[in-house]
Order: sequence, then structure tokens, then C-alpha cells
Amino acid sequence: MATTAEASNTTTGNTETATGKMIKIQSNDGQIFEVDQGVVEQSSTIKTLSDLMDVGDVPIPLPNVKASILGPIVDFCNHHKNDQKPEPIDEDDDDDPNKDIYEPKRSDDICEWDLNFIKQFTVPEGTLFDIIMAANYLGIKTLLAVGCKTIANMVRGKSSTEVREMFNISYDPPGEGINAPNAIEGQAGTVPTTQDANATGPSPQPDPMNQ
Amino acid sequence: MSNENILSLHILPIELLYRILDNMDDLTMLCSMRNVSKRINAVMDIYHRYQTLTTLNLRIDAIGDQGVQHLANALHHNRTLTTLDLKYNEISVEGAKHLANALQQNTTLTTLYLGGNQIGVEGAKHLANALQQNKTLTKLEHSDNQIGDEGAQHIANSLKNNEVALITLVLQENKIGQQGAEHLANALQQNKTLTALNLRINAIGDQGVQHLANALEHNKTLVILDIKLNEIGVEGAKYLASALQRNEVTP
Repeated sequence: MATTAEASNTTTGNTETATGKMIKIQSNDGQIFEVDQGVVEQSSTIKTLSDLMDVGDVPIPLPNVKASILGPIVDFCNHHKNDQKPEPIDEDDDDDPNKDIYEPKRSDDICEWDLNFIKQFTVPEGTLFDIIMAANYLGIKTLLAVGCKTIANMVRGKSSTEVREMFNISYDPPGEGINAPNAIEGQAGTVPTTQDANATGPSPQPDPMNQ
Repeated sequence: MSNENILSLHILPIELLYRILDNMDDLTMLCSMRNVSKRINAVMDIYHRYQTLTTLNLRIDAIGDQGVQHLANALHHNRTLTTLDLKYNEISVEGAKHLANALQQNTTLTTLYLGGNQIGVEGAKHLANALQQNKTLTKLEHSDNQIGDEGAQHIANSLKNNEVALITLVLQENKIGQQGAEHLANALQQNKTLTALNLRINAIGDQGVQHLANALEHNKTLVILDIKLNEIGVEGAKYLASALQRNEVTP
């Protein structure tokens, strides 16, 4: 805890007693979580909001995150709040002109705890992507990295067809249908039998972004 | 419709797709992410690492026939990769067949290294057929693949077709004997594109060299013929010497 307090004191320069200060955050479905500075420090979004608003006892609204996702994220940050900061320059990561953009990041370095943590989120329920979106929105780089690496690890060694199946992507690129099972091509196909289309029931929706 | 709220990979915001791609090695990006959906392809088309992925080096990577199959699927419509190194990857006939299919479609790859695999006669046949369709591959490195005389014959047949773009062909260490050399020699009489042929460490022998020497009298494009370590004696040397007196290369 000493290191956390030190870090927050030096980075914020806050004259108040930042050490024990608890902050409330509120999910979009109304649930309120109380978090300490060690958690706040890991989320650039919460940190910025709390610095800006100096909210006191009023919960900070996080309209993009629901409680079922925010809860585990608070757990994640609580678990990691005493971690050594890997590199303080991480913030400038994207802007560093010397960064070797050709070199992919490692994805085999997720720690045991994080591996177990991420397992509770799944593709069929969409929660794995919810957590990635939330980590991005909240500016939690460590969690975002765990999420992205998890996807990369899931995809490695798979064919594009297998990837489509894995992520329930039912739409095949037109003109590039070489990997598509014919059945899928047929569903996305060109000859809609107008009345039967409804009768066949809930066939997988084509990717709306692909239209 | 609870379906609408379920997020998945292909509809993530572009910056998150980039983040995910950042964590993938080149092979995964190419084989697993390419052609998953039209939107992901569109995102990849403007992703720096994909745009600049011109050389894929998988030498000694044990990707095997299945890995090659995934890769070949990606190669069909790939527009970035110009050099692919698949040396020593336990590729057999099956893998060669998938690659051959890809080569018939691909119009970007210029250099392919396939040495040290188990492609064999049948595999060579698939590749040779593909070469006839392909108009861009200029270098094929196909050493140590046990193609033998028969495999050499298949490749030689392709070389007779001057639509074939091949400039450099490496058939080193392939158990090619006199017969294989004869087929290649016949091809060289007609071929007008090949400038370098490496037949090192085969078993061409004096007889085989005689065929090659005869071909050189007619061929006007080949500038490098490497026949080191081929059981060639004084007789073979004589054939070559007299052929070279008459050999001319015209630009």
C-alpha cells in the first residue's frame, strides 16, 4: 500500500489525504462500487473524471459499463493494485516514433491469475468483448492487453473458417468465399425465397457492419 | 432480440481490432484473421503491419501440411506477400497441392522457398501444373525434396511453356539422374525465361550433361547452370566445353 500512496501523491500532487480516499463509481444499470486510489490509478478514465469533478460522495457515472462487467473489473484492479508499474512511459506508447511497429507484442505472457480471470468471460455471451470494450473505455491498459492477447491466443493456428465459427460470424466476404462452407454462403445468398425466409426461423444475422 | 447486444470480434471498433492484431504474429494475421469477414479485411487493408507484410519467413517452423493449407487459403487473394520461405516445414504432397492451388490464383508472390520438405514426385507435379497458370513467380527454390527424374520431368514440361515467369529454379539435391536431366535439357531448348538453374548434388552423370550441353547450344537465356557434384567425369566436361564454344546469350 505504501507504494500506491507514494505513486498517487507524486503523480497527482494532491494536497488532500489521497491515501485513504475512497471513490464511488456507478455502472449504467445503477450499481455503485466503492474503490480506493489503488484502483483509480489503474483507470485513466476514472482518474481523469475523479480529478476533474472532485466528486466527494457523488458516484461517478460510467454509462458504458454494466455492473456485471464493472464488478469483475474492480476485482481485477484490486488484485493488481500493488503490482510494480512496468514502465511509466507506457502512456506514450502509441505516439513513440521509435517504437518498432513491425514487431508484434507477445501474447504468451499472461499471468496465471489473469488467465483464470479472463476465463469467466465468454464469446457466446459476448462478455469477452464486453470486458475488452470496457477496459478500453476505462483506460485500463493491463486489462485491455490481457483481453487482446486472449483473443490472439484463441485465433492462433486456426483457419479463417474456424475463426468464423469460434466467433459466430456467419457472413462471408463476397468474392472471397473460398473458405466458406457452402451452407453459409447459401444463407447469405442471393435467392431469397421471400415467404420462407421467415418460416425458417432465426437464422444467424448477417454482420450488420458488413452490409 | 438479445442477439443484437452480443458483441463479437468482427464488429469491434477499429482501434480495438488494431489492438488485437498488434498481438498477433504474421502467420496468425495472414492465416487466421484474413478472410474472416469483409469488415475485418477492410480493417486489415489499412493496418500498417499487414500492408507491409511482404516477406513471410517460416523457415524451420514445422507448420506441416495443415499449416500450409491455412496459409494457402490466405494466399489465394493475398496482395501483399512477395516472398514466402517455407524451407524445412515437413510439407508433403498434400501441402504442395494446397500451395499449387493458391499459386494458380495468386498474382503477387514472386519468390517461394520450399527446400527441405517431403514434396516428392506427386507434389512436384501439382506445383509444375500450377506454374503454368501462375504469371508472377520468378524464383522457385525446391531443393532436397526427393522429386527424382519423374518430378524433374513434370517441372521440365512446365518450363516448355514460355508463359511461365520463372527466372531462377533451384532443384539442388533431388535425386535427379540422367533421365531427369534429359527432360530438363529438352525444356531448356524451348525456354526463353530461365536465367539460373541449380542442379547441384544430383546424379546427372556424363550422359545427362551431354543432353544439357546440347540444350545450351540452342538456349539463349540461361546464364547460370550449376551442376556441381553430379558424378561428371572427363566425358561430361568435353560435352560442356564444346557446347560452350557455341553458346550465346542474347539479351
